[in-house]
Amino acid sequence: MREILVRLFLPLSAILFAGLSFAGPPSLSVRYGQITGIEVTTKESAVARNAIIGGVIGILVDDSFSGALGGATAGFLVTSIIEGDRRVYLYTIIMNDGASVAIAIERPDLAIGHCAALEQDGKHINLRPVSSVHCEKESTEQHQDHRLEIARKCRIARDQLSVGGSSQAIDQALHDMRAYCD
Amino acid sequence: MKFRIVALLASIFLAACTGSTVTSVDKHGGNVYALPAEVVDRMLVDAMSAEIPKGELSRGSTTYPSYSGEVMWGAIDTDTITAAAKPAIGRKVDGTEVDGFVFEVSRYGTAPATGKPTAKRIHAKLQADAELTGTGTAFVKFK
Repeated sequence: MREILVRLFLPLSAILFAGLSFAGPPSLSVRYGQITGIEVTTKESAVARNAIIGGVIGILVDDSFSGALGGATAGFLVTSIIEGDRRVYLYTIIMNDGASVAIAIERPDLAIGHCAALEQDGKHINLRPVSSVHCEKESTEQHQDHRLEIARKCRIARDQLSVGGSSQAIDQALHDMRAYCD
Repeated sequence: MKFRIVALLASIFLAACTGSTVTSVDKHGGNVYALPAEVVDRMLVDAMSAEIPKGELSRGSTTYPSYSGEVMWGAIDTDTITAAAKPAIGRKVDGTEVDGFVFEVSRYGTAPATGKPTAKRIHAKLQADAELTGTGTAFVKFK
């Protein structure tokens, strides 16, 4: 009987282990484009215009709506639940593949002509300034890997901070967050 | 006569004391950051020590994380800067309420020329860090 249990347990645990090992975090992607327009607006207006909502406001929305944004319902919920009238910046970006993307985000430090990386980490979207080399020609695999690695480190730091830990672990996570998430 | 002079000086000193608070929550709402207490504690230390040497910081007597330190203007005037993470309840978009913290930086003393901008810078650093964590929720109330 014990032998049967052992025989059953070993393959089952191997399958379980393999499943855990390969059940990775949500995929990361990075696209590059040039800022061609900036408009100061409100979250509500940006949602109503079907812009991508990034940064902190995007996280607030995406955590609950699985990224399904747009339309009057989302606009109403954002208006009614996230109170206040904090301005956001609506950036128009021409991506390297020619597509035009509008993203609303709270960071004000991008200007027309800047090259920006549009990072998607699962449902969360971020926009950050990057070297113009990414917009001048097709990104090399190394460049792409580098940006993905930064986004991955940002996520690890945030995960650590959300659960706490030792002073040393928190200090390291704060350091990494400032270095990789900004 | 001596008593009168002391009383006059004391009243002038007290009248010169002012206080103000920089906070991310006001009548229009604001953000509550759903982070563990030990994390906001380290964020407070980091933000305060950017302006005041770490050795001169003292932990507050509040039940929530807070730190105080002094800044000077000239040889006599001082302001006490206090940075605190006040426990609050925030609400996610789906209506779920979560525990978190609101950052507040206050100053009190006779050196507003130094204290006010220092408090603003400390609060800005705290707010920048908090935003980067991506844990902001809409403010509901203080606990």
